[in-house]
Amino acid sequence: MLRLERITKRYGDVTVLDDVTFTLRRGEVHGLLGLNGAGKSTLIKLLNGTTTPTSGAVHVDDKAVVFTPAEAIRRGIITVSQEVDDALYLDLPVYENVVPWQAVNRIRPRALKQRAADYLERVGLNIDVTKPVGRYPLSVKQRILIARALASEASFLLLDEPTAALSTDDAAALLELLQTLASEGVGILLITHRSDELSRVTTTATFLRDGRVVYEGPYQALSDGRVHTLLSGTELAHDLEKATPTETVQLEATLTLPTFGTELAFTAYKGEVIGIGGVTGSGKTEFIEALFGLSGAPQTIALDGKRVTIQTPRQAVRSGFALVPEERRKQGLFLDDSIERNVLAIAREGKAVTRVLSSLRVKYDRLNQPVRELSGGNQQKIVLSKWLLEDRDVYLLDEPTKGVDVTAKRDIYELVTRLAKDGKTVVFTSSEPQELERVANRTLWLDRGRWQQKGEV
Amino acid sequence: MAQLVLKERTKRLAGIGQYGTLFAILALIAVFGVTNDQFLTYANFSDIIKSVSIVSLLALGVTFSLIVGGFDLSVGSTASLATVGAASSLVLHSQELLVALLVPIALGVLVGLLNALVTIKFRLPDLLATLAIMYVINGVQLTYTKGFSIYDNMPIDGGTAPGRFIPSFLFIGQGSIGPIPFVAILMVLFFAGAHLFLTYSKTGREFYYVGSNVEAARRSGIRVNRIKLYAYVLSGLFAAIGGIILASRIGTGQVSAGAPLLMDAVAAAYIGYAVFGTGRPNVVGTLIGAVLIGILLNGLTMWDVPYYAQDIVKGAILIAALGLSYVQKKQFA
Repeated sequence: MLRLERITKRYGDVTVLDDVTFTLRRGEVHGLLGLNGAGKSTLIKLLNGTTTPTSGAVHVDDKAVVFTPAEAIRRGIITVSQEVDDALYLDLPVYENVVPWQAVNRIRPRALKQRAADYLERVGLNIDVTKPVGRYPLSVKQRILIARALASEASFLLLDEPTAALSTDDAAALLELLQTLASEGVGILLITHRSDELSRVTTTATFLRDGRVVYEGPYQALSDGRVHTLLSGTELAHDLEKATPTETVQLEATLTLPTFGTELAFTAYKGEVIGIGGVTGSGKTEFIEALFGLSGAPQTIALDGKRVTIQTPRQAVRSGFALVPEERRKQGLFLDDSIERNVLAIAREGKAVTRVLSSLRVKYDRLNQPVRELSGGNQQKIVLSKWLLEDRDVYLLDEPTKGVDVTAKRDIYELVTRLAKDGKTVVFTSSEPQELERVANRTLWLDRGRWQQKGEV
Repeated sequence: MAQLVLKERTKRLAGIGQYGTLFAILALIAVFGVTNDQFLTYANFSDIIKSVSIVSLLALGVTFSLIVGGFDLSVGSTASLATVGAASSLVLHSQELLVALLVPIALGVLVGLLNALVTIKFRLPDLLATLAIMYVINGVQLTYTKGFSIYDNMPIDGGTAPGRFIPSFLFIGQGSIGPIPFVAILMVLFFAGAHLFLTYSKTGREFYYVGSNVEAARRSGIRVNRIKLYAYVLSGLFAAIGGIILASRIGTGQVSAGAPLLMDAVAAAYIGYAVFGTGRPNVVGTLIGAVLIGILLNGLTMWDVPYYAQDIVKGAILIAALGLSYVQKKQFA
């Protein structure tokens, strides 16, 4: 049993956790919910020893312990964080990433590779273990980390949004694995924003709001409205009213996807929100990248009736496209730069910065604050903001709600609707069907670089 | 709690950098001024400014490469090449001022293009690629001069060289307008221009974006490769201008004259990281860094510290500057 006993954690004057008592038992899958800034990551840091409480104590099996990260790992507390790249040795082969060095007395590559392959198989991966980790996509890296946790025989597993980067199938497989592990006696802490997962696998759930525990009990007993209230402290507002697309064609193209060697015909109307669905690896990102000149191949596109050829992102930007890339931190932000600098990366004029930020309800202290300090949802809003200062015709949003909390999601949906009502075209990818149903006028499904089933046009 | 204390300490250390550089300059002036009555004279300050101007221009080149996330180690050898180019035009080919300026500038731009080619097209790591180019350029000028310096009335083929260092060329490095050395005016103009460009122009800002996150810059429609190319060309250009001033100041085309300037320039740029507490390369900081190093080297010379021992001091300063910039970077992490 891993227990936080009346923990308070302050950073300077800011109280992040306020008198929190939390228990993670062996054999349970414990959901942890809360908006960004509610204290979820601090709670994880306390459990894995990367930070110490201001007051209160951490107990393992009813004994108070002072944790260091090494001590936590020794006691089998393994964390799988969201920033997978921070936890992996990207230029080293997969097997050296999976088998923890603590467990190895003598280095025999063949045995190591075999052990690594065995653990990888348990997480559903059948990959070349001699290739460097950096070559693999996010979803694979995530599972490599979980395989590492298995290899170190974790007794407690702390997972921060492990399914955010996974396709529906992969996510389902992972959740099943977590349930198996729990039945073998591992205590699992699961942070996720997806309610279907929470109701499927969790045995209990804890809600944090502003550093306090506001609910502890089964997730399944809660209604949607109650979940929203617990998270945000406010009542659920009315649902979105979608915009109505016009009859004017904004964009018409037959795109080449070099990765799959396929061609995709695509038409979009002004004022339309088009959902692009499909599992990871189905070609959603490749589709978006083709439109934005990132595929390497020249793409001929009819924009507003005019033919343009797009081969570089610059040409795409000049033709009126905007892109919110899939990997926000790696591809969308200048992390050490200020909010202002990030928002002004595209636009020439900076007068409207604060207006755009407040229209998106970005929470920040000051304009020269580095965006690294912001939460995931607010960072995503910064990426969006930089395209709002200047008029764009087509917005390409690649998984814009990934790793973003519920209120920020709502703000993003609202923005998408507002853009469409202004006559813009929005292409919105997601691996969550419910989400696409909620925002898109029509949804197209991709499968290995081909349209799977056309929605009604 | 321990983390918090550490953070506070980091902040204080970074603060030392912010005002410390200016404080260090004043302290050095005070120490050298008290210990040597020749230090606080007009002649000496004009001397300092002249040597600072050369180092600072090389450092400006390095700064441009650092801003885009690269690193140009070839500036010293580019400066040497430029002095040889200018001297050769004047002494061996009896050319006028314009040619004596254009030849080294063209050579500098060429080196910049070469650096861009190996780093951008061939995707070699900047540090190693420009190091290799540095050796190539050194070899080129040694081959061209056969290892000899180029000077007025030098013997060639039985006679003497036809041309000479003309007064208008010598004015650049030795002349002054009123009491102000001409190089000081040049230096201020170049630095002001570079600062305004990087701070207020759209293209200038793009330099910083590329250095901050290449992928995000690309996806914002910035022509990443072109910006990097500009940075290396500007680096070569400023190194060449530094070389011109060097040639004009010493009045000869000396082989490898610019080589010892590399470390000074790199140190100046890294001290520049610390000056405004941003942990980023910046033009004004680089200038202040160059001034700091210039004053220090001048003072040490006056103390009769031999030039070879000065290298120890330079190395130590570079380590300190790197350490400080690391501390400041960590602050944002």
